[in-house]
Amino acid sequence: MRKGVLELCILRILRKGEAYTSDIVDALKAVDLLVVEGTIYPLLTRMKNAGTLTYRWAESSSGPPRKYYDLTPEGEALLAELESAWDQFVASVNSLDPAPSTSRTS
Amino acid sequence: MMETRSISLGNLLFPMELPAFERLGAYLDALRLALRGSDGADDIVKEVEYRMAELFQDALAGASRALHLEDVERICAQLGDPSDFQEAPDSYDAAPGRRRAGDEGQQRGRRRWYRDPDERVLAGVASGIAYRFGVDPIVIRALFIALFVFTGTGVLFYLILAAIMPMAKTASDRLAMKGDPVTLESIIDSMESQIRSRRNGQAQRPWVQRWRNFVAQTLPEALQVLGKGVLWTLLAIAVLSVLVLGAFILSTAVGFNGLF
Repeated sequence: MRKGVLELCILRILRKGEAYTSDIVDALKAVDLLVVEGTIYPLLTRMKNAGTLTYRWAESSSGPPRKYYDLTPEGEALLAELESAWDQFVASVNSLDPAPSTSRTS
Repeated sequence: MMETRSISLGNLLFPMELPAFERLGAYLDALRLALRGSDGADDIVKEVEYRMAELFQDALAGASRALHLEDVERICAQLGDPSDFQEAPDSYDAAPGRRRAGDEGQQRGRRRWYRDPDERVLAGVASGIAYRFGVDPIVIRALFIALFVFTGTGVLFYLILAAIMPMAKTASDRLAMKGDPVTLESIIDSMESQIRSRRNGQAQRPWVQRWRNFVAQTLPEALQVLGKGVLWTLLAIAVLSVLVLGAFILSTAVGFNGLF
């Protein structure tokens, strides 16, 4: 479940264009979705094997080589699918019992 | 004063203090072991090395100093325990950061046959076997001695085992020998006991050390070579005897033809 959300987040980050692993890690950490970096590597590998991501190695002038990931057409399709599933999920949860801070609109 | 090592990580060169170097080695070792057999393991290790190089660069911030143990520890914590790199088989995960109870048991692999360099008397065969079967080494040693006293084959048996069982050289070999779970903690424990035993080894008198090294290293290697030699000789004899037999049968057949 959490991993499904992480997958959605990775796809969302990459929708804006290709990013290398540290960019993805930083973006996820900035919003507290990643505790240790280790979990991201097998996930990216699995997504690449599933055909939703591609990557290319690029030399960096200032540091070690970087692995840039990008979405494939399958990845974009999966993103659309996960987005709608996510919206549905959030709507379902919210409809059960509105959070105390939000006022009822009905 | 602190001894330093120089390492190349992601095409960059980093000077490291010795404890930092050893900790990094243990971490990467544990990572390789944790990922063994999983998809793209080599790629992940490579990428983690590059990521570490990047983080080391950040830690140094242009300063020309050697990396301390604390730098390495902080970065290892940031990357997570090697077991965090294993994908959970089930996508329904517990709260972030919490590890499920089953994980430890899943990693406790089958114990493997290794010679134990830490608690050895001679070549570490008995201690290694003891780990394999989860008994006290003294039991195995007693068995070897009994074999020698009653049948006289104990020494031969021991030497053959010493030749075919590999020595547990790296920290991950040791963990595989003991069947311990592969976590950074266990790797570090194992490394520390290794360093301790090395120190104990140095405390011994040189001739004792030399004699033990001979039994642990030179003799098994010599036996391996000898074993290969014997195998090839047997094979050569087998091939030759088939040839000779063939020639003999052929010649008798020809001989009969000549007679009639």
